[in-house]
Amino acid sequence: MRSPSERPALEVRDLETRIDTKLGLIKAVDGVSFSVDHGETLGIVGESGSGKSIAALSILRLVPKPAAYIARGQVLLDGEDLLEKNENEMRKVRGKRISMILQDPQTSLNPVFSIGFQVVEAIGMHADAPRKTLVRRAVEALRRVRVADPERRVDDFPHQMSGGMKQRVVGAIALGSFPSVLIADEPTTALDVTIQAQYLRLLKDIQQETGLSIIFITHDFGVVARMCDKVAVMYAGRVVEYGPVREIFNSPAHPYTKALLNSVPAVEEDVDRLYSIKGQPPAFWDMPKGCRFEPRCDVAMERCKTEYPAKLAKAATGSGGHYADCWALEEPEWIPSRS
Amino acid sequence: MDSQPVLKLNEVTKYFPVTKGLIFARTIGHVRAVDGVTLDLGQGETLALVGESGCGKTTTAKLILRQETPTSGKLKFEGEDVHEMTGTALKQYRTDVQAVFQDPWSSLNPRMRVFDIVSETLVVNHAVAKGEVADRVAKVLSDVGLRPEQSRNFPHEFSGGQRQRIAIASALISEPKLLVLDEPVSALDVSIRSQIMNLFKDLQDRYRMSYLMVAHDLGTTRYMAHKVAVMYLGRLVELAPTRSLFEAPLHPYTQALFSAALPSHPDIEREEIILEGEVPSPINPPPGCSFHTRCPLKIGEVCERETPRLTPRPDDPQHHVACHLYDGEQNGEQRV
Repeated sequence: MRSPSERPALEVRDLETRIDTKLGLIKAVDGVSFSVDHGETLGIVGESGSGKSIAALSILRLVPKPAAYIARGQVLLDGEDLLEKNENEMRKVRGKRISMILQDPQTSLNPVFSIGFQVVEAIGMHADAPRKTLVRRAVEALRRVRVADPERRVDDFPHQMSGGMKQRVVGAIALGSFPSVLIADEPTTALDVTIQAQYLRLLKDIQQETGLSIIFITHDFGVVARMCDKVAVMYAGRVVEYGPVREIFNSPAHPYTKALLNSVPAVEEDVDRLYSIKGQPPAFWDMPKGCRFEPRCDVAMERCKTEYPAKLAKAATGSGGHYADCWALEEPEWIPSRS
Repeated sequence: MDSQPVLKLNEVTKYFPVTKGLIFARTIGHVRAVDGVTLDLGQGETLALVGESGCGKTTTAKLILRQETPTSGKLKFEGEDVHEMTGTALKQYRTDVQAVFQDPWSSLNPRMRVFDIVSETLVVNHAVAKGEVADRVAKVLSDVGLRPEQSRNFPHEFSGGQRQRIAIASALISEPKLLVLDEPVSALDVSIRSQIMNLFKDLQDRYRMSYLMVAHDLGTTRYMAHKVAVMYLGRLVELAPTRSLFEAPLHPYTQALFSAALPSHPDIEREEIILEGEVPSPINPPPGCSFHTRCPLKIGEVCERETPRLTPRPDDPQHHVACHLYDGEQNGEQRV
């Protein structure tokens, strides 16, 4: 057993979330593992339907019931398994120890209450203090997310604020009770380029001040490059590659990661022709038997059609951890992973 | 590129009145959505309009599509005023200019089969004989990478990327000369985006179409466009060939915008230019240069007093910038 300081802030082990649909039972998240250390940022990258958002919702046990349920796995927050907690205990985790920011601030905020009310409500959920104290803390929370003149802005309503400002208020609500883990699900896709840059910098500053762990869910490798220390690439419900951010960008191992990186146009240089991945992701009710990327893969072999690849670890990086699920990787450099 | 531009905008403005009161509404001001935009687009060329929300890029696209009428200024397509057209000229314009929009979930009628969606332009305009329609549909579907027999299906049977291909096919069928692309790939998944971008490029090579693209993603812009126009509060602040704009942006706003673009590798550290405040209201934009309230390189009083004109650079006449920083170097006769 490792000491608590070495323990990751949040660890997800072998998580499986199923959804009961008209077309049958699907495994939206199929045996996914990842972890994030204190003060670290993990990026979960994937396309729509890859299971990245369902994985995030599963951490907080917020998957839509009764259609979706968590079938197996562990979600360890500082060593405690959240999947074994009851609903009352979970309520003390959500917003207090793990918070979440969603994509669209327009729908996260209630249009008929002032933002001060909404921040106070969120903080008051986890603190037993007189209203005056709560208001003071709400103002502080707004100041921490760099809302200018927070004493006055608390009386504003969401419609009086710009999109970037609203997303800051959402940040104040999420961080108001000083959680140790923040799950950010595409928090900047609805924002303009310069506002996005401001927001990402703000999250990084707050992380440096508080040692917050962040799980960043995104489809944008630019956000990953700017924000993340570690990356998990998801495809069709599984993590197909996992490793430190520079490893992933400098020597991507999985053909899907390689293809994705090559299909994004860069701002820094002229590209004559972008690589484009043929076809489209598989449907969950029609999953290939072997590797799920095989039908679109340029280096697929016979074996890929029938057998899901073993999880391989890059020997050179040791247990520090660069993993990929692919049969095509060279033998000596990639060894079967023990985990 | 070509001597005769396909599309020419000359000092185009569009003001929307802002009213107060329900019954006896009175105008209290105007939103200057597009304010004196001049640009042209040659055959086989792609021009991208970039800028943040509210900068007027979509209104400009709507003016070209005749969904809005300009307050002043002229838009000319092959020499003819777009907003004066009537009768056959108008019909021809509606065949020659087509659009592809951002969201293929809302741009296709769910009750129509692909065949009817794609052939609608031809049928409405009686452009070809009935018997020929099926051949034309089959041809454009294969042009965009779909199988002709898929024309019997409904939109819901297709994925996002395929739907966008259907939208492109229905724009292509009338053999347009100009396509207006409003964020054509931003609603699509990463692995599908490059397919669609490459498709647009191939179609342009094959049919010599001109594209006017509205975009906010700078990587997409750099890959797709030959020329880029940067807009801020309804005005063009910089207009230049793509490479010279990305390699050496001149306007302080363009520099700030580009510095905020996300890197393509974690080792790329960009000096980020932080802009003060937010975009001012377009109802009462600041006098002089509309960017002076946030400009980190403001030179002084001249920025608050005089609106800078979009002027070509002496050393690179293709590169235009509207900024007083470059006043001393400008070549008086070459004003556009």
